[in-house]
Amino acid sequence: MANADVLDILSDTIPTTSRGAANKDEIIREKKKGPKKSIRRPEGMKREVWSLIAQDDRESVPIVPTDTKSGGNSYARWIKHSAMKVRSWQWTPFTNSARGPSDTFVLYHWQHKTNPDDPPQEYPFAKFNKHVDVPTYTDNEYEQYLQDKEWNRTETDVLFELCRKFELKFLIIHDRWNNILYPDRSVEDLKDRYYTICTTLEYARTKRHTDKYNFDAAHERRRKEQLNKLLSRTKAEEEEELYLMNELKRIENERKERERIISQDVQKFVQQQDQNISTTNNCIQRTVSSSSRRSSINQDYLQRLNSSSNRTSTTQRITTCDPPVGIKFPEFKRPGVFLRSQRMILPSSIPNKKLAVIDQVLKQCQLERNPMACEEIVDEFNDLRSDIILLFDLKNALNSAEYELQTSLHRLKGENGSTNMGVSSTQPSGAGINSSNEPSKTQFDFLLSQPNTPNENITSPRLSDSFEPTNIVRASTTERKRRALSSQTSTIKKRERLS
Amino acid sequence: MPMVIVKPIVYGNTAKHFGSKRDSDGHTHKWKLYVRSFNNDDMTKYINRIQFRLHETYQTNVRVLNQPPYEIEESGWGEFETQITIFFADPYEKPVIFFFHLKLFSTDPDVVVGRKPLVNEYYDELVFQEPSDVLTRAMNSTQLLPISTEENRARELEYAKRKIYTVARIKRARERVRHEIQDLTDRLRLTQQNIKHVRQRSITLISPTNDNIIRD
Repeated sequence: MANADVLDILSDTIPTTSRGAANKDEIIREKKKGPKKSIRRPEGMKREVWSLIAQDDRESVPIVPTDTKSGGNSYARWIKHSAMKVRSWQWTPFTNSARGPSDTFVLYHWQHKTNPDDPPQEYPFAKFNKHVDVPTYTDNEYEQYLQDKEWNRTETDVLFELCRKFELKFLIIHDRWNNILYPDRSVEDLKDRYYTICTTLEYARTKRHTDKYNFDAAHERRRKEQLNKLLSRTKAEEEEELYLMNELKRIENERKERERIISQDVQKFVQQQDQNISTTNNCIQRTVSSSSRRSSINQDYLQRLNSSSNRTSTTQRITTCDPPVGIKFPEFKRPGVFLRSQRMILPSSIPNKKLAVIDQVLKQCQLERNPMACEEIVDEFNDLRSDIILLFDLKNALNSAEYELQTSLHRLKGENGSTNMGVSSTQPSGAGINSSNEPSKTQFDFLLSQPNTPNENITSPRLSDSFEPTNIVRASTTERKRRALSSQTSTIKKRERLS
Repeated sequence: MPMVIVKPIVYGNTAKHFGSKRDSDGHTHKWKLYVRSFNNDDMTKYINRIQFRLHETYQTNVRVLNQPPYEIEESGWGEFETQITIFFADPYEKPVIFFFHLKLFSTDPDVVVGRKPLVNEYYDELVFQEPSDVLTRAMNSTQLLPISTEENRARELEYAKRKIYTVARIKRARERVRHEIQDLTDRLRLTQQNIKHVRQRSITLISPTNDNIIRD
């Protein structure tokens, strides 16, 4: 994107790239093809990183202008220098001070000729010979602070000697550790001993706690063990883990979907409930002309919300939008002529599934699809169809919710698996669930076996029973698999917590 | 008070099988497509003309009728969708366009045999919202007193009965649906509560084990 800005600014001065294809056909083809689609930035990548890697068709314009004067490795500099004479080189001997003060090893290399009066230069690479500061302790200090029941003095001395020699490269130190003379030590043991000594010495000498030598041997051991396990997974185990990860993701997504469906619909229903209450309680003064019955319902609904006392409907028109339930039928507010049956037309936004459901219910109620179009019928019919859709959505939400409940219960059972709780037979208590510890599990058990049906006064067969459970967000795993999955996810989580 | 005038109409088609397939063009049925006033009004007061658009295979498939009876009599062999456009007396008023499926075939044995003609009729209403003065005057004039005939009265009666019947049915269906909605809503709320309970339980069960691991 930076390139785009820069190009835009400089677009007058920069010559256009070779779109000037000499071939006429190419030009025509290019025009027809249109601008080439640029590759999209991958999701995880930062914008700046992408702009570094991305290959645009247009030349990438550098933001910092390059210096074309002499200096740097440019052509101009070479030109300048080629006019000058070559400096003379000399085959000189040198010593490396990094090799130690008592070193007499002499090597030779080419150097620029120096004036003889200048002092001899130090070998420039000697300064890189850095050493690690391994602390040394006196006998006194050892006896006072550094005693340890697992390490004796000789071992400690040997350890420190090795540290000095190998510059704290503990892998080498561990390798060089003489496990015939001394007991076998792991890398963590050696490190642990070294760092505890360092911290104690530091504290002893300066009387200040420092965080410089923090080393947690136990943590390191566990970490390495986990890495080893990770490395030594068989192919089958790895695939299984991937599979489980994906399953987990999918289940989580489905669960979120279900949550969304349920919570959305509950809002709708609460509103619809209020609507229904207001239509049955109030006498609605119908303003026939351009307000449909639905908008008069809206008025009442809003009035209920705003002024709870005022129950008489007023003709004051409140411009509202329809509540998000059911179907929005075409309304005719503008002056003009229309045919009554046009108000019965279903909007095209309704998916086929819902259309089929409407037809099904109408058939069950022995109603025809397009009844005669007088005002009362049109209103009632539209409301009926709205209600049918509402029922359908409600049924779906209920199915999702029931499924959600089942999975939650199974998960609960799985986590409760170790403790043996006797499953005593309980009476189905439809509504309330008490929060006592012991019987709670058994209460939930009954929920697993029977669906809860508080009201049985609906005459069967229900209309909603014939609805196909179409969009239940449900995985097709069997119950056993589900339990195995949940137990495995919990073990994975535990493993993560451990490391 | 916004003004609304309602003019009920009926439209539809009748169809009668010849008895045999006509060799010349394969036609099998004689049909009549019509638009009539329900109350036997004089529709010319508010309707200027009606345009019927038939299937392309018919000669001059767009037919315009400027005075009643607004009927098209034709013969054919198949059903198709027709488009009917009603133009009003006031030229500034937008015409009403709707589609009508011409029905020829029936499963009723009487119709198949040819004893009874097939009648595919719909009741509808032209709703004039805030009509212009011209139209209003035209429609409210006293010359529009419907001439009621025997046929008319019978038809009105029949439709009235149908209306009552349909309204009752629809109301009953609505009751049923609303009942179920109520029931399902209750069940949904209950299930949601249960889910919440279960979740709370599972949280309280997990957290003690959580502490154990951290203390390790």
